[in-house]
Amino acid sequence: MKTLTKTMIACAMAIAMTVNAQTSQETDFPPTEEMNIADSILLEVTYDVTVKYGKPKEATRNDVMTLEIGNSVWHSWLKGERKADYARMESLYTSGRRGLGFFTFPYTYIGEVFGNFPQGQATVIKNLDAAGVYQYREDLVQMDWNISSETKKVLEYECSKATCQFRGRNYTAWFTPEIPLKVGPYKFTGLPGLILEISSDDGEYKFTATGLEKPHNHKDILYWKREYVNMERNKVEQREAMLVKDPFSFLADYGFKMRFADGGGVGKWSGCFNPIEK
Amino acid sequence: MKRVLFIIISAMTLHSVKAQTVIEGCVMDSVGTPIESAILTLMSKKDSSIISFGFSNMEGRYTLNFKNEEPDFNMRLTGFNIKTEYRTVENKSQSVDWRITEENIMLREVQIKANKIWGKDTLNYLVTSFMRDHDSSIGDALKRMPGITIEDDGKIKYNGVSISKFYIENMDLLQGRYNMAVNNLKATDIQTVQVMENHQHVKALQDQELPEAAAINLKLKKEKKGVWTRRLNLGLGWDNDLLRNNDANLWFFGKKQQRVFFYGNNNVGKSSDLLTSHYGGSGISPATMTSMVMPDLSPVGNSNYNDLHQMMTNNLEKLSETSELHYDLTYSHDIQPRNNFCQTNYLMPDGSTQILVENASARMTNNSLNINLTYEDNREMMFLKNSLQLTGIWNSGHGNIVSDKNISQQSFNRTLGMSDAIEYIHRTDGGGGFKLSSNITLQTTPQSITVSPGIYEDILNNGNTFEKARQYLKVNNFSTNNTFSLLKSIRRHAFNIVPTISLNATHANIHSALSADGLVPSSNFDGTMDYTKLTGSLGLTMRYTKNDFNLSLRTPVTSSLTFLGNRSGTDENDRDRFHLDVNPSFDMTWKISDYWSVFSNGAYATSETSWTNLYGTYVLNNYRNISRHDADIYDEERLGARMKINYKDIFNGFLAYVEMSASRSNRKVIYSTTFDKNSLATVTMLYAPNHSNSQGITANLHKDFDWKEMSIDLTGSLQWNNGQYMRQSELVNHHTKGHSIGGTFRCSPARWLDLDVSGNYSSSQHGTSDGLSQRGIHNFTGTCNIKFTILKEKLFLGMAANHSYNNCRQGQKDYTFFKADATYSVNNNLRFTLEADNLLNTRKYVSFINSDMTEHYRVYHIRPRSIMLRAAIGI
Repeated sequence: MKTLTKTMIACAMAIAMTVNAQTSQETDFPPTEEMNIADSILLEVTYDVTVKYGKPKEATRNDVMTLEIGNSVWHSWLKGERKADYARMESLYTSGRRGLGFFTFPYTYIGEVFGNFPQGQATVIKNLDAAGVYQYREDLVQMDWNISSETKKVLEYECSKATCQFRGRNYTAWFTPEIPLKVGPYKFTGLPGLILEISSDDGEYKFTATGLEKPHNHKDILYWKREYVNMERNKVEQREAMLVKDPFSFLADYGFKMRFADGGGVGKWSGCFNPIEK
Repeated sequence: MKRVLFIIISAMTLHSVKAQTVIEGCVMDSVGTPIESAILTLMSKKDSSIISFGFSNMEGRYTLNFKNEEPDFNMRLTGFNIKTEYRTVENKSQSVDWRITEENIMLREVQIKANKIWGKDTLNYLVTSFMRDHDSSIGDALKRMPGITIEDDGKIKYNGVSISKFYIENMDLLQGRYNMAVNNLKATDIQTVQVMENHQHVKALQDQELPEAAAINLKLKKEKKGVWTRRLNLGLGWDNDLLRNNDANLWFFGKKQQRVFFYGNNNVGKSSDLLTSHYGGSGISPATMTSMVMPDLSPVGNSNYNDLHQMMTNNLEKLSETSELHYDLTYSHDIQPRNNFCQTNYLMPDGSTQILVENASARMTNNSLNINLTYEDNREMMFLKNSLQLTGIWNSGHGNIVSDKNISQQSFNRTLGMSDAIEYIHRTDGGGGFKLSSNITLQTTPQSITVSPGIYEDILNNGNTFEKARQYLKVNNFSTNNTFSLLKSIRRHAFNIVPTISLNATHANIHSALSADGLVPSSNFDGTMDYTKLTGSLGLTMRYTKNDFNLSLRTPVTSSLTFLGNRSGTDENDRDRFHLDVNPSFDMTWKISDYWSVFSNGAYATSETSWTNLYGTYVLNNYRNISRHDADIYDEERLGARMKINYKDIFNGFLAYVEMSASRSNRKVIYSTTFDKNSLATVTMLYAPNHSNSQGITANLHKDFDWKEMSIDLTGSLQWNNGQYMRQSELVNHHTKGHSIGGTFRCSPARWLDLDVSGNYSSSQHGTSDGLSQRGIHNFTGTCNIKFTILKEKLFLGMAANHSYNNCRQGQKDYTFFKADATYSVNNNLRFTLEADNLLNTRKYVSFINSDMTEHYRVYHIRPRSIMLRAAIGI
């Protein structure tokens, strides 16, 4: 038995050593050399995001938004969108072609937002799959908040109510002066405390904080310096709307022939699109 | 008049100007550096309502404009990592400068409370939300995830259905042996667990019907990718002997390769479940027709006195974006000495009971080797997979039975097999295509048993006693299954019909020799049989698809030709039979909404008497049974249907399902069991049309609560079965009715306390149509696990209690076992655990089960109180 045991251990070690010799630390994606540090993270906030996207009317998407807050820059992104973004970019980097081979929503519905990056401006990034990765910059939005005396607790923090109107929707926000940061998810800023909950009054968009974390180790807000299609905000939105209205014609303009996995025709497809900014 | 008007307007304007107050200033630190983003808030002294607020800019400057009648206000300076300061300011335009003091902000609940679950068709479970500091592996966290259950043998189910794939970083490294990952990967290494509902692995079939089963994918943390993870678990302990439980495992998860190497040994009773393949196995298993009576293991565990060595290496090479190569090897060597006392009560048709008492001890050595080489290319328009498997399973053992007389038994079984399976799918641009699958299996199983003193004297030695009986038997079998079917896109054709053709062949050759004292008593005991079956089927598959509704109906017409040759022991040595069947079946999937879904399937199937049940020569199966089958080839008809309704509101942690099933079997032949005066059985297969029915309903509810991380899971089921048995040449109608209800409750009442309590009550009634009824059985099993965190992330204490009650046990009806452990985590790479098991030092356990008109009492010898020190080392 001892001999058997020794033999098995020896075999396992020999195989392990052989294989060990052929491997080393692999590179990660996205390439680290393309990641620029925008700021270091002081606080990370996670939000549960619910979006009613319209077809059928009650259909909802759930995702998780991370808000990274630095000394001067803040950055919000969605897990689901980032996953699609990375998959699309990995496909581009490995095959040299844009467009995933399989059917995915070719648009984003919220996008990645850098606040105060560059100084005084917001940078918004949207990966529209085969149509390219779009980026626009605009001045930081000054929101006209009305603060009421109403309060409630979110995440065990005492929050005050504030309302505002922003690009086609009325919003109700709950912010906590206990965390004296003027930021919130997406582009929502300008309250004397961190926004822990905000929802559009039509019920179509809702962000609810589910977690707060001070990073235990040093972490940075990273900006991926890659090839962007730079345009103004309204033009990016127009293109996104066109993409949704008739994605196959739109992408055909970019030289992409779209088809379903079975090779069949695409038929008449009308996307379910309900952008946050109307 | 104009003058008066001018004075009034001027006064109003002046008043208005006075009401618009501007407070501005600068925020700097102690050395005069401007502070950006400080928050200045002006609040009413009466009710602290906010009158105005603003932020400092890059230069540290701020401005507050407001209108208010109050004479003065409270002004507050706040900011991240800035000490909050208050001042009282008068209601007048003025400049107010601030010098800040830095202070680390103290956040309550500074911990990740990130959303536990997100996604739609792919659900993402954030592992940190489901893990505890004291967890040893990802399996502990998986059990807490809504919808996921892990059964005793490690099988993972999602919403009550076994998962079809287990990926790590989207690659199926383990090929179904996922117990290895579930038990060995640390929860802290995993970022998220993804559940892909209705998962279809083959891309070229993703437009076909929606599978019911889900797949699981483990997403690793970034730092665990592309690096070797090495773990060593060492355990040394004592009961009445030296105990050891050691293993070493190495994992590598890269983009182009994934590998795992594992070696483990233990003598603490842990089984070889780690190597169990839950899908994708070779399909080779011993064709056992004779074997030694081996005492079984206690249902409460702790009765396995083993010496197990096992090793595994699984490797996956990504050859391109779509293709990969797997090469795996598993080997296990296990010596198991077992003993128990068993009393078997056979219910006779006349109401009497025949009792067999056995005191059995045996020692079995089991070896298993499996080698697998698989190539797979998984593209949208093409799929090719070839899997070659070589399997060797060999075991030998000896033992003694003390019954009316002392009987010794020796046996061996050596199975060597090879299988190859190929699947090819081709899709066309027009949505059409075809699927071709073929597999071949070859195996040989020599086996033997020797029993002494000789038994079945009347059959084997004309009623004279003899020293020993030896049964030797060799089975060689070959089978091939080949299917060709056309494919059509269900996206393009809501209703489509495609043909399917299949050709199958099975050949088996059996040779047996049964001797008494080394002499063959007569030619009747030296037998052979050649069995060949050719099956061809032609069928149509009809599919109807609309939105998320999918219905498939298959109507294969099957013709089969069976040849029996050299069949000794029967009147007819050669026999052939042609048979034609229609075996329709259907599957229905309907995803009504994001919350509701319905699955249903049903089939009418016929199956011919299997070749092992056509062997006409006497075979000594074990010391309790001798059998021969002189019946002809008959068909068994089975009709079954099942429906499952699911409700899933995963974000509110509520899942529920109801599953109903019913089946009926009609058979032309029956196993006739005749017991002699010593309760030894002679089994023959006879022509006697009979049937059996089975119905069942199961319901499950699961709810998670945010409060104290509580979760409740409840399952209830009802079962009705009836069937016919032939005992002592009489046909008996037997029925069973049973129900069970069980639940699990998990909760963390405090940060330092985790509770996990589960219980199950079951009850069953057995009886015959002649009014004979057996005692009703009431069973309860319960477990309670408590974990205390003594020092956060460092020191944990655990206690567990298992309780078992059965009303039919003789004497002691309740058993409770206790165990305890203490874990000290030095750092992420070193953790010590001290375990103490069977604290009450209970040395025997009695079980009672009832099945098929037979009651089994068993007394198991439980392992004594033990203590073990384990070290988990990350290298």
